[in-house]
Amino acid sequence: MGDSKKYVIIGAGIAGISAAEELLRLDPAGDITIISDEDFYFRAALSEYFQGKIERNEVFGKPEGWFESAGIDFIRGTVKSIDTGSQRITYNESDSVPYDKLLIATGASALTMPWPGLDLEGVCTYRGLGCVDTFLREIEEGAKRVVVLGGGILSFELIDNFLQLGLEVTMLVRGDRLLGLLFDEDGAKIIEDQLYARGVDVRFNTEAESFQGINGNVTGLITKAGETIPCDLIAPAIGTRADVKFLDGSGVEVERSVIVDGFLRTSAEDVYAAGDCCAMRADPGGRPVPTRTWLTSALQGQAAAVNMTGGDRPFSEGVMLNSSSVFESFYAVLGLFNPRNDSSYTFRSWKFEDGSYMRWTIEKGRIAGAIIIDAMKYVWPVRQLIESRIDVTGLLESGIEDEDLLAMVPQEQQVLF
Amino acid sequence: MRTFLEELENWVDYNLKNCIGVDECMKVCPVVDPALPLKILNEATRPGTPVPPEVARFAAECVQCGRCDTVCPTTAGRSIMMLYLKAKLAMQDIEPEAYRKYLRMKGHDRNPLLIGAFNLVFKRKIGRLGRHVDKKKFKKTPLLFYLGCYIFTPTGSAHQLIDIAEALGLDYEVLGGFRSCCGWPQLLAGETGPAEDYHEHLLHLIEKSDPEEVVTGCAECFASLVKIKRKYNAKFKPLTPSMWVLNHTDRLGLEHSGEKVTYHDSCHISRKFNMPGPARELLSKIADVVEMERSGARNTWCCGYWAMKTNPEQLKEIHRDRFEEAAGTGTEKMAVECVTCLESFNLHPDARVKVVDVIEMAVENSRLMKEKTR
Repeated sequence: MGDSKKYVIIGAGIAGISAAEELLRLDPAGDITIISDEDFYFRAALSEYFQGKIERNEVFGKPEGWFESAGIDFIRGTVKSIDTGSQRITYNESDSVPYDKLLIATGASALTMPWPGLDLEGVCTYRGLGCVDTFLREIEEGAKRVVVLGGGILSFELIDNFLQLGLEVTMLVRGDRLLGLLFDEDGAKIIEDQLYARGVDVRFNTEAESFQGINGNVTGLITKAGETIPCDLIAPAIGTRADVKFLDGSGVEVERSVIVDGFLRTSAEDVYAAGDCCAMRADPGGRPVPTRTWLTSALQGQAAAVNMTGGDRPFSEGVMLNSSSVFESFYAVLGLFNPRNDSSYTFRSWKFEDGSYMRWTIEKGRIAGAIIIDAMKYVWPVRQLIESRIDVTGLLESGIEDEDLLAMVPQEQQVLF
Repeated sequence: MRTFLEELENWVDYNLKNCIGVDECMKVCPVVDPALPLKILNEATRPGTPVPPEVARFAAECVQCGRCDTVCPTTAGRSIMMLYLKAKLAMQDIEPEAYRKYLRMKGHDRNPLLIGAFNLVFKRKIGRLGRHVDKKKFKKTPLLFYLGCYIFTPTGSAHQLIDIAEALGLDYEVLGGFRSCCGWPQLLAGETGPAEDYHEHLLHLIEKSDPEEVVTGCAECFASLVKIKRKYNAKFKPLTPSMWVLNHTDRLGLEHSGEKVTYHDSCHISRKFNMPGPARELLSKIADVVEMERSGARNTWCCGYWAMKTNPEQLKEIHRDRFEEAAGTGTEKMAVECVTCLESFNLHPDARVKVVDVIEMAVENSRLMKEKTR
């Protein structure tokens, strides 16, 4: 017992759980502790719960009693600070626990601005299970009109939920276009059109100044232009921010997110990070970029665990893939799906007869990334084409047919089943 | 070259991590007990974890129809995970007994004596096809009819394919019998090693006649042929009967009969390979096609094949339900392309809707074929 390594994971999201699974496999004799204030749940399934498509208990990702049966010590608590010198973690009031190897997998929370009225009842971000519970309670209590802040994909998902439950939605967007991070204009239009078709009131170039309320409850939003929009709910969905406050003074390098190297090591000895809370500085001096998608977090958790057990494996997720659905559409973005202001890329797009859409980012005859909307059958062949880095110039000339696309994928890259 | 199992192992972990828990796959599955939670399934799918009996049963019954894959927002590929789960069960030797029996019937055990005896008895019952059962010599020909184990099923479509080839004056070969099994039953049982052996053996047999086109009326055989072609980079082109007939419609002189027909999609052809078109195109030349609600590439509905040997009561219900839907379109005929669908539906015939093979309808409405039989 005394010889077994003590692994501590802060956070029970997909990164933390994936790390725990991998630790169980690689070091069965190891001693694993997870500290988290929440159980593990499928964050992306929250919308399903929101819309009543699945029950609340179906959101949770592990069978009941999983931690005990796997021999993991689950501590429900909030970490206050870590001491990287004496290798101890302080949580809740003054409890503490030592570690040999530590993984920070605290994730991120929704970004807000210091709007006056932020603490009113009826102002809620969309991030965790608790947020959905709050929204559902407010709607139960009679909320009818909601203002959603932000023009990204999360706003769309949230709006889909509100519309399904019969609410009237106003959307405030700071800039003059929607979904700019994820899609090009043609791609975004497919999703946007569905938003307009559902009667959502979209206000471009509009920002919130403050929130109004009576008796602690929201009654309206005032825009920077001075207009008042009456509402019962306000849902800011303007971005995320890593949960790393407890690292202040710990010596772990933080630049908005925990900075990790290509092996998911932080600046402190024996401390690793994975998932939404971290950003990877791939090149020395390069800008650290957080990815914040489910699959990347899972693969990072797994890779961090490999290195925590003494492995030496650089993190690589292959081709980045993020895919989901909103309204009636499925979408996927792969690799360098939407590079900006860079003349080394050209683009080729297809609008298919059935309304689906695909755009490739092409770099020197090779596919570097793709946006795929509703043409999901192309996701895997295209992913494999990106991964294999083969020249697709010929394919671009001849046009694409399913079999041609598959035939282009080198044999060892094909998904046979 | 990676084995199937290595291939599966390679993807299962990635796919599991890609699962975001929205439960869509479970909602559309024609097989799963709705009470089985996704988290229990996922946990059982991870390498090295125990598999509870309810998951084992589900995994055994999964026919790889791929309905789950089409609804997954993250393209996580549940069917690959299910295939891995089958392999995991096979390695632990805990397939349910009912399923094992079924697979034995499908030639899962390659017992030469048993197959020999079976051939001896049943060869006579299938007329001119009899001489092709498990034969050793093949002539070189551009057209090969691959009938696999369905050479023994009492459906007419195999005969009609040959009638058409003869009427057109085409040179052809026939490959069939348990010894040329496509390996799909083994794959469904999680026996990835034997499945791969069957694939290699089948490729070897196909190459004997060196065909350009291989036509098969069984959707599972077709799926196996596509996989074999991709994996071994084989030069033949796998075709479904309607794809093949469509190449010869001018000479067959297809005539529109004026009747209405609805079409039951095969999971493997319409969905897995995304080819709902050819059978419809052929049917529309000879009849008016009326669609059922559950049809097309994304919304096909299983014929209940998975329940044929393991859950007869449920099978009855599935058929009743499907015939109800077919009758609701106001047609008296439901066409199918896959012989397995035909075999399944024929177990519980319905007085209102007759199940017919696409090829059977094509023959009935072909000027050339009518002249030949006159």
